[in-house]
Amino acid sequence: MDFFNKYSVKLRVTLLMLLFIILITSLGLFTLQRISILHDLTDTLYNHPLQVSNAALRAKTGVIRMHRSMKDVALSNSQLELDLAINRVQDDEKLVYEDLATVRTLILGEEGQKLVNETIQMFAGWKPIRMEVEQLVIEGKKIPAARITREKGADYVAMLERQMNELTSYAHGKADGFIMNARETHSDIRDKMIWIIFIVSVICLASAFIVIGGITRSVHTLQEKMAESVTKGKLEKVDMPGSNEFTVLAKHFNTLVTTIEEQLQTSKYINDLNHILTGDKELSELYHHIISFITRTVNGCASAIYHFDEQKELCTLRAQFASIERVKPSETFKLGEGGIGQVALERSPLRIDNIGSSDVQVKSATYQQSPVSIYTVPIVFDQKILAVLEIAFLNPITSSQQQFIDQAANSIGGVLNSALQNTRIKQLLLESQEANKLLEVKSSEVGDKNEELNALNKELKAQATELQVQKNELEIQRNQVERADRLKSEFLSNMSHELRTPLNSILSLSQLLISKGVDKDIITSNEYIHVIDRNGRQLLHLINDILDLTKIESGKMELYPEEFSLDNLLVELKDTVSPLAARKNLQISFSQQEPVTLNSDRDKIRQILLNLLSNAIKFSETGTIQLETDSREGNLTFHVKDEGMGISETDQKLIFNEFTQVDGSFTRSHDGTGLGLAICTKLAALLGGTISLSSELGVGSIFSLTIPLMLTGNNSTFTPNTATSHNYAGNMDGRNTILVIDDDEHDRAEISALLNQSGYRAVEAPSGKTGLNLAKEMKPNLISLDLVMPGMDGWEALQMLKSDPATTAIPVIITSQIEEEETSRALGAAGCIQKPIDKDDFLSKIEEISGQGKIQSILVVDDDLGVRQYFKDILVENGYSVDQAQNGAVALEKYRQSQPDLIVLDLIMPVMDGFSFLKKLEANSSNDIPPVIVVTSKDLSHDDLNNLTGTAETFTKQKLDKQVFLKTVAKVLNESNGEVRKPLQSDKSAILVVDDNEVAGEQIQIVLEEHDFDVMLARDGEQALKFIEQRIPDGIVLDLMMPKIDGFGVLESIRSGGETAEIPVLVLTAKEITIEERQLLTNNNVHQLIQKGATDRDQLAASVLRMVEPERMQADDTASFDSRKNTILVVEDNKDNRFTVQAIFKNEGFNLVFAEDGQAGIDYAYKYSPDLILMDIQLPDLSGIDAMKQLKSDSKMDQIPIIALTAKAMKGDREELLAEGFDDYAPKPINPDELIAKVKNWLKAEG
Amino acid sequence: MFLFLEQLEKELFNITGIQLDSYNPEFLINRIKERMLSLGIERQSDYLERLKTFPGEAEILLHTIGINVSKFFRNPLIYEIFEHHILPNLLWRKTKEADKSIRIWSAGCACGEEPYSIAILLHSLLYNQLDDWQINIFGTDINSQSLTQAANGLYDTTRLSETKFGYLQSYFTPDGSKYRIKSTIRNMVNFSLEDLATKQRVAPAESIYGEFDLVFCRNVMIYFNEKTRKEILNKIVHTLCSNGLLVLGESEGLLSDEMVSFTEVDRKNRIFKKS
Repeated sequence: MDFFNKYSVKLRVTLLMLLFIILITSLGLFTLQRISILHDLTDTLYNHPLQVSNAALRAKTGVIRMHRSMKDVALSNSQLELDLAINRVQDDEKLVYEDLATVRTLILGEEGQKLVNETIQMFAGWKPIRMEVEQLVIEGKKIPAARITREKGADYVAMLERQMNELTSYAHGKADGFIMNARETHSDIRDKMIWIIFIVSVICLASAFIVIGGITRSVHTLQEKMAESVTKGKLEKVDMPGSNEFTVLAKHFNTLVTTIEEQLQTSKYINDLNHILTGDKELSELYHHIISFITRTVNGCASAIYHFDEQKELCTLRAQFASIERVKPSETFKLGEGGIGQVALERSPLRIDNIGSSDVQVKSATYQQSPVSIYTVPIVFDQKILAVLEIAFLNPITSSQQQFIDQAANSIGGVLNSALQNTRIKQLLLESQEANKLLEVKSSEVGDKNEELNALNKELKAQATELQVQKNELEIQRNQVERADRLKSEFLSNMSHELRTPLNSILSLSQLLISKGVDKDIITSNEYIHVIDRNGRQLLHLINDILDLTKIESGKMELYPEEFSLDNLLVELKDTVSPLAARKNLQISFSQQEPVTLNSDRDKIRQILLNLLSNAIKFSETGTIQLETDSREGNLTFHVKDEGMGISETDQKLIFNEFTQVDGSFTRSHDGTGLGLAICTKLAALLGGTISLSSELGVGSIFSLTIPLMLTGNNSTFTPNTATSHNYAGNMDGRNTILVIDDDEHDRAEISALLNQSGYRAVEAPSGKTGLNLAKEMKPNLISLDLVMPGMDGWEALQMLKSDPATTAIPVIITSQIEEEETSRALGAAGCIQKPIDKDDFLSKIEEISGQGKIQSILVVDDDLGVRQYFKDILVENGYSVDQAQNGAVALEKYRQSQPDLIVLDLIMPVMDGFSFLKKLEANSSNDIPPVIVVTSKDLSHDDLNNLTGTAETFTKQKLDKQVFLKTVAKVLNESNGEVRKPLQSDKSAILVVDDNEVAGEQIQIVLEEHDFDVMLARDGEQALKFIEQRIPDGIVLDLMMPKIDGFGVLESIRSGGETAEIPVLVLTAKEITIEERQLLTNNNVHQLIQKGATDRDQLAASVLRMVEPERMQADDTASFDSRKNTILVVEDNKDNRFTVQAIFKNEGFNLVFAEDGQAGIDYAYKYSPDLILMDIQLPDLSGIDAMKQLKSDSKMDQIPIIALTAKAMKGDREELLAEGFDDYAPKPINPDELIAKVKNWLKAEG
Repeated sequence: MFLFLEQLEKELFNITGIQLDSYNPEFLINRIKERMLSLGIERQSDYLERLKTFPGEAEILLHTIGINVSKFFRNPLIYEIFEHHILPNLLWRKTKEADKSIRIWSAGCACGEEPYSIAILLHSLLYNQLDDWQINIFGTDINSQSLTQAANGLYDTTRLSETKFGYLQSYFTPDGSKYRIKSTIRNMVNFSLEDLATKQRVAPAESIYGEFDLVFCRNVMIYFNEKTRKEILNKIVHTLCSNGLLVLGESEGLLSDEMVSFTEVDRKNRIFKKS
């Protein structure tokens, strides 16, 4: 089988396939041939018997027909019949000859031919008989003719029939023979085919087996060998001669095995080498081992190893193997010298082959030869050359030898290195031992010197420490000086800001007044002057503070000790700070343990505490300010506690320093000079006390003032305590004065204290008579009157008060042990309070009665006494004071006397009617006309109504509703509120709000009034309809669910009236609307339906607006802006300064927008896109500089010129601010003309 | 079962101070089972554990039993914060904006304890300036009986256990063994029947347009399913004016997607600001 291995697998497979194709093709051809034989047979089978017998049969019938015709001939009676019969016979005779001819051509076999010929002869033999018959018939011898026909003719015909039958049967017999033949041929073909297929299959199988077997055997052999190699680990070669793919594979495999074996061998040798080299060996011994092992292993003939000295760059011979017949190998090679030197230089192996004959000979006892090749390798460890090894061979070096030497050189490197190191260490050890001996001698000498040095060292260290301490101290001092310096300049700058801020307003406004004249616009001028005044005072206050501080510092502050009670001081303090606290919604609580009397400077203590308290208020947003006192060991301590923002620990140390405020930066959010606490501390020290502070950020602070009860070191003169009678001097400070008339001293004091604490000024009167006098004299805002008094009692006093025109307007509250509300009211008192007095009730009553601290007086003008009395009753009942006049003339007189807050006016009166009264009123008085409510029974004409523009409201007497009237009064008074009354704008749309829910109605009213509607409220349908009868509103906001007449009812009745049919109606309801109801609403022309609670404020207002004044929808909040004018944004935190800027730019034709801090400034800049920005520098939260920088950093905003406004006018500020990025700079105090010029200049430049 | 009831009663007493002694045990057990069923808790010990650990559970259980646990100044810390911080700031801000109106909605006000409490705070803060202000406090609840009681303003002392003596003295008058709220406070609050879950409107009808500065919705949303809860919260967001505050019950919170509309003002007391 190996025979096949000569041929490649590809060839073999191709041949096999070719064989298959040939065999199958031959088989096919053979089969085709056999099929065609069978086909021929079938054809013959069909043609012969069938056609032959058919033709014979036709001939037979023809003969019979002729015989019959012959009978007709014999029997014919006429010539015609005879002719016809003879013709038929002749025709048939022709046909019979044709058929017989056919049979003769088709019939097979000699016998057949003979039969046919006989038949033809026989048929021809019949003709003479027929001729005879015909002749006889023609001759008329019918009977012999018939007899001949019957005897001779019939016999002939029978003979012919037999002959024909014989022919047919012959043809049949012949056909059977054909079939047999065909069957034989078929079975023959079948048998042959079976054989052929069998043989072809055998041939195919055999050849396939041979070819595939050849292939698989090779694969199997290979696979077995490989498996063996892998599983047993024994590498075996494959023996496979030939030259096909598998033998090539086998060869490669064999090569692989050889390589692996070689490598294994090499590594085994390396292992052996390592084994030999392990263990501490002398260097020379090591060299020897190395060289002998390697040379033996690689079958070298001789070798030498050279040690490489790195410093000397020299290779020195250390060991050699086998003698080399030469002069002697060189002992040394320099770097780069000879083969050895070259290898050491390049650090790569050198191989020299094919050395021809040379004088170098390897010599043995029996043999001597020159080496053929030399291999030289460097021995390297860690990139360093340690040695060079050279080996000579008698044969050319194989690659495996070379490989082994390379690997061996690698592993030798490590061993050699450690051996070299060891040798070096040993050498060093010896050297150091010697050196040690020398050192021992010297060290004892050094020891003595050392001690001396140590002492010196310590001294130096001490000096250095001292220096460091001094340096630190200096550093601290320097810092302190720097800080003080910085604070001082910060203070100066702040101070200049503080001083300039009020000055700014003062100077700018006064300049404006000078330039624009005072008398043109008195009101504005008045405002200016107020601002100037306020700022002047603030300036004074500041200067006083500074002076105080200087005074204390220069020791010029004098003390005025006196003896005084603590209670008294506390009450006074509380009086002073309560309003401040109330303004910020802070609670004030003073608590004191026991009565204490002090001998000290009362004013100074008061000043300190006032400062601490007002600081507490200033820096707190919520909570309670507490003042607690605590006396022990001759000292009195005041604790001022707040729940404010607190002070961080670092700041706690600073805030008592002068010039410091916790936040000294640009973004201070609290005013003040930062002097207060400094002054306090110094004052406290002056009083022999201290101020301390404990505070936690975000929790609150406690400032504690501790002072001695007796001020020592002073000749304190006793001053009697006169403080109880202070501050009774009437209405001096704007607080409302309340006269307390009570005979019981205790009650009086209680009420006074209560009132004083609550921000009123109480004046006491011990009896009714004194009370009456004081009331006339002082005109108090309110009188608290006790009922039970000796002499003149409360009722009497009340009567006197009410009957005296000078005092009748003063509301009186009766204080009584028993409930006398009704009697009191009936007698003209405003109310009654039961003793013991409930503080809150009492105060709320006072508030209620006095309104905003002022009892409002109403002048009722009507000729009908009954009407006057009715109005007086209901008005007095509601806390108004009422004056009456029976006609216009009297009313004018009364008006001049008492200037009422409101006038209720009838129109039709004798002497002077309402219209003339109004005209006179307008003509006679300046601006100050009080609002007028017209109540009349006259049907007002259009002209009448025109004349009445300016009156607040008009009521028809007959339909007057008390509640509505009172509400209107309150509303009108509230609107005018002591100010100049604005004439009612007749262009406001009037909206009637109909809702039975009071709260709901009020809310709608608020929203609509905010949007400048005139709103009337009706509480139910009935009231709504009454309203509409009086005045047709511009629109109605209608609730659906109401008692009595509901919303639907109101709608229907409105829509049925001619005038009201078109009033727009907005239905505002919480009801779920059914379809029918919706239809009803639509039918009644309701277009707006809003669910309560499903809208918001603006939507609601917009809905009403859309309904009533669609044209106003377009106008929005920029309406006040004139787009033709330039817009200036002013960012300024000081209110007065804003006012000042506004005053400056008044009438200059700009739109002004004000922002109060930096952030708002930025927001507004984006909102309004101003043409110019005036920016204050010191702003709370976000400083002007930062705000400017933010704006300038946005490319959309950086074109807007920003002018810095600042009161800080230190040297260099201007340059600094311009450097920061401001476009320009205007110092405060502002010079109005300069600022205007500057602004206009910038705007012009802007273009 | 009765041992469980005893433990539960003890636990509930520890948490709320409410004694269930006077209730029919079978009735109680039925109600507790009902609650356990709705939580999907089967074991009694598990429910006891939940009662101890889940802050709002005691309240829900009480509610399931039919006990109203509302009190004046309930969770006094919140009211302290309102009194000293939130309300003064709000008043200050409004004063600055020259808009002297405050609108407050107590959603689920029960018998009026919550809106009255806040009214008391406002009254004591504003005191004599009250007339300058337009204060609208709306208390709404779905239970008309509670609202009748609220409008009546008569409370027994258990409802006043957290009320400071000063407030009790100033704003209540004794009426038999009970206390009646003074008309000054009663008139400050407007009560109305309102289904929080209604889709018909956003704000209570009485308030017309919402725009609330404060909305209290404490321990109300826990009774609704998640979907309704979201809807209610949405409504509240709409009714709050910008910077308006929402106060939830101490066991409630907002999911992170709901926090989109709010910033947290006070985590512990569940005060959120509309942002």
